[in-house]
Amino acid sequence: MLLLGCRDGLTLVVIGLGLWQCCQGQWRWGLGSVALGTGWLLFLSHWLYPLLNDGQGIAALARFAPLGGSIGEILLNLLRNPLGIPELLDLREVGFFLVLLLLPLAWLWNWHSGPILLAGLPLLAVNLLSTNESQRDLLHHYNLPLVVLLVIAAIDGIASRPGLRRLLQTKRLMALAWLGLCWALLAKPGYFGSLYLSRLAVLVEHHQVLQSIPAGAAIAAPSHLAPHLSHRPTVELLRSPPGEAELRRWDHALLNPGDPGWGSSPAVMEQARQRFSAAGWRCQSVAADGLTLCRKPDRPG
Amino acid sequence: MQPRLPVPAATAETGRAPLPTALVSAVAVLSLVGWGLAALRHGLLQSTAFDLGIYDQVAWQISRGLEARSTLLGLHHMGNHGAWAFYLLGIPYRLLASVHWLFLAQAVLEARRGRAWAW
Repeated sequence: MLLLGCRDGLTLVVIGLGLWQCCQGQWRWGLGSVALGTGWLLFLSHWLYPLLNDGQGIAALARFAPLGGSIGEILLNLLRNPLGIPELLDLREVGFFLVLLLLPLAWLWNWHSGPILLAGLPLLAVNLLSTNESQRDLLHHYNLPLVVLLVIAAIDGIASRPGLRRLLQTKRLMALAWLGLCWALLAKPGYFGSLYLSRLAVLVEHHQVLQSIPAGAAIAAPSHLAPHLSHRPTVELLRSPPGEAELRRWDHALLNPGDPGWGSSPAVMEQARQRFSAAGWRCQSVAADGLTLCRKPDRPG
Repeated sequence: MQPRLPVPAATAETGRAPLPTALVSAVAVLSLVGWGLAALRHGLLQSTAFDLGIYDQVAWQISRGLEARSTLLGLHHMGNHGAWAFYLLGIPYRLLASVHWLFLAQAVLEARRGRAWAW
C-alpha cells in the first residue's frame, strides 16, 4: 500500500511483485497484488487525475502514442502484434541501456534470482517502450525502483552459492572497489569538477539576487533559479514570452538571455524582456552575466 | 574457510540478529555523502525546477495548509503521480521549511537500501 502511495509508476512494481508471488505458488498474495496495482492505476487514470486536472488523464500516456491513446488500447495492440514490438525499439540504444543497467550486479545472479527479477519486467517493459529517451538512462529516476529488485536478485544469487559468498567476504575490498567503480562511472561525480562549476563566477551575485526577492512575490524564473524560489504560492518557468495573463499573474521575473536554463532559449528571454519593458515593468541588470530582474511597476521594492 | 565476519546471533529480546556495525556505519556515511552532494549541487545553482522545484513547492504548500498544486507544472500534486505518501513531508516542512528535507530523505532512503545486505 505504501508503495502505491509513493508514485503511480510503482503500480507496475506492485503488479510485478504479484507475478513473482504467483511464480512461487502464492496465488492469493500474487493475484491480490496484481488486482491492487491494476485497480489503483485505473482509479488514478480514470477518476482522480481527470477530476483534479480538468479532465486530463495520465499525461505520460503521450509517450506511448505509437501504441495507442489509452492503457487498454496500448495493451490490446501489444497483444495483437507482439512480433511488431522490436520495430518500435531502437535496439542499439536499448542494448546499451540494458548493459549499463545489468553490469554492476548481473554477475551475482543465478537461477534463484529469476523470480524476483520477474517483478521488474512490467516497469522495464514500459521504460523500453516509451518514446521518452530519459526513461532509458541511469541519470533519471525512472529505473530507480528496478535497482531494489536487482539488489535482492543478487542477494538471492549469493545466498544460494556458498562459494561465492565466501569469496565476496574474503575479497571484500575488491567487491567494494567494483561497486565504487560502477558508482563513479554511472553517477557522474565528475560533473562536480566540470559541468556543475559553470555558474561559479556568478554564484554569490545570484544568491544575493535570490535573497532580495520578496517572500510572497509571484515570480517567473529560469529552471535553475526556480528551486531557490519555490516557497511561495506562485513560481513559474519563463519558457515563452509572457502574455496578458502572465503579466497580470506575475509581479517579478528573472531572465537571462546568456543562461536561459532548461526549456527556454536566448530568443525567448530577449522577447520576454522586450514584452516586460513594453508593459512598463522596471528591468535592471543585477549580475555580471546579464541576469535581469524585472518588477511590475505597481509593486514596492 | 570461515567467514571473517560471522552472522551475529539473534538477541534474546527481539529474536532478530543485530545489524553489523560496519553496515550501519556505511549506511550513515553514504546518507551524509548523498545529502552533501545534493546540497552542493543545489548551492552551485545546478538543481532544476523539474522536479526539485515542483516537490519543494508542493511540500511547502502542504506544510502551510495550502492546496498542493504546483504552479511550475500546472497540476495538482495528487493529479501528478498520486503520491499520497508525500504528504508526510509536510510535517518536517511545518517545523522548518527547507529543501534539505528532500535531500535528506532521498539520501537516507537510498543509503538504507544497504540494509538488505544484512538478510
